[in-house]
Amino acid sequence: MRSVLSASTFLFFIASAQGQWLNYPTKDAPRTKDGKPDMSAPAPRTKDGKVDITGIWLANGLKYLINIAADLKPDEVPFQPWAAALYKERRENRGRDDPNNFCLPSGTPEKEAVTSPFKVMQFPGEMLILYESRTIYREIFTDGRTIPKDFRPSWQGFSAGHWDGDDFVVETTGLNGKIWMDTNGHPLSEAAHVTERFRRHDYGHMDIQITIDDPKAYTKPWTITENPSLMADTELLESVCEENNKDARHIVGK
Amino acid sequence: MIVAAMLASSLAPKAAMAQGKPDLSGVWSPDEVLSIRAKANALLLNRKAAASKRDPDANCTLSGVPRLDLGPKSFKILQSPDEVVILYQDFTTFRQVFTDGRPLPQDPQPAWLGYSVGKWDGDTLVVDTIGFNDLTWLDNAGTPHSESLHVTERFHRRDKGHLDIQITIDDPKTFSHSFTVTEHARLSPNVDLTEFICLENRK
Repeated sequence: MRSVLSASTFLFFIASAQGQWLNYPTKDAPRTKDGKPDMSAPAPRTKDGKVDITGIWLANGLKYLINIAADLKPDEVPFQPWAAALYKERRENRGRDDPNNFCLPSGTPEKEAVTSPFKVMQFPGEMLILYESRTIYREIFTDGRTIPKDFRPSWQGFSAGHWDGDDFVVETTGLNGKIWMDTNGHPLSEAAHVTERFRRHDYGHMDIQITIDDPKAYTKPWTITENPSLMADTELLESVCEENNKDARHIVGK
Repeated sequence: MIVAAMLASSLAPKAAMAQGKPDLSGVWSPDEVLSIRAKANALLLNRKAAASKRDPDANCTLSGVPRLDLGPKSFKILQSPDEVVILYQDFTTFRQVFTDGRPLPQDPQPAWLGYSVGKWDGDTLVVDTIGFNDLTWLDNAGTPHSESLHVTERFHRRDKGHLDIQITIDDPKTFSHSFTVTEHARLSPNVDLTEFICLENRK
């Protein structure tokens, strides 16, 4: 089936104008003879021998932003009946109620599929992701802490990360149930447990394997894999959705 | 400030980074909501222009600098050799302060939070920020500024539990000369920032 871009998809193209450090050379980037970043050089490693996943990354196109299940056959998404009906309704009304239309945040796991760069940084006790889209951040704790008892469900949820060999594995719960996982409208309930495995193959390429375990919305866990690329020699821009959201009133759906 | 009320541990020596620079990392909570209006008013070149308009934060844009520093919400500092990141509870937004020696941009596209570079002056992190738009307030009291604003924040961790931020406002189009205020914040050791989505709280 041919994908139809929902109106909200275009919101992600609202870009800030020229930024300032967009051509600033990335420190320690491996270079080819012509001085360009060597995207197929080996993945860097941190001092403790783990794969270093830090850097600025960007989804390869709109594919998973439009449809997180783009690589699956339609009947391979194990919807619960109500979730299937809701998905159908959202498709039919062309994503009229997508939270992104109203400048609400993308939730986990949509954020990494947005076609704006995100920057992964590593600190003692946490991995940090800075998102250009919405100029928002996500903390992934690596100090062994677990979700606080009084955690208020949120768009990004509570994320804890650990290393499994060369994979950085992030477990997220505490999601608010309002999340659309893509602009097509795959729902995610507050019962969801999302596992993301960040696997950097080489300097320029990473897979993020995402497993959705959400017994309320889906009959069994299901897994997809996204494939962002590194953006070297640049920096994030500031992006403020509410600064110029002229679209919402035009996104009337159907 | 009531020193006696502070935890003894918060008076312990400050931590140091591997490079010997002070470690500013932690969640910090401003002691009070600081208004710079009193100092600013006396220096305003055009008092009429400063008549309070609608709070830009009500539009759920990105607040501003130094307004985000001034409380009441907490902020978290994370520090790497090349960059200091400030995560703000307010707006769940952040600033990147580059400490890798890059220069400030020339004639940058105006931004809500500007462009920041930092350097160490002894034990003090000196952050210079320019490239602002003129849509933000300097503080909650509505103190205005122009695109010529240059903010200098001097972050000094006095001891483990206390951070002083000396903030100098230099904006020759708005104020007759620069002026300085000092924000005091204390470490909140067992606190995490929580997601704050402005739109969900806009009434």
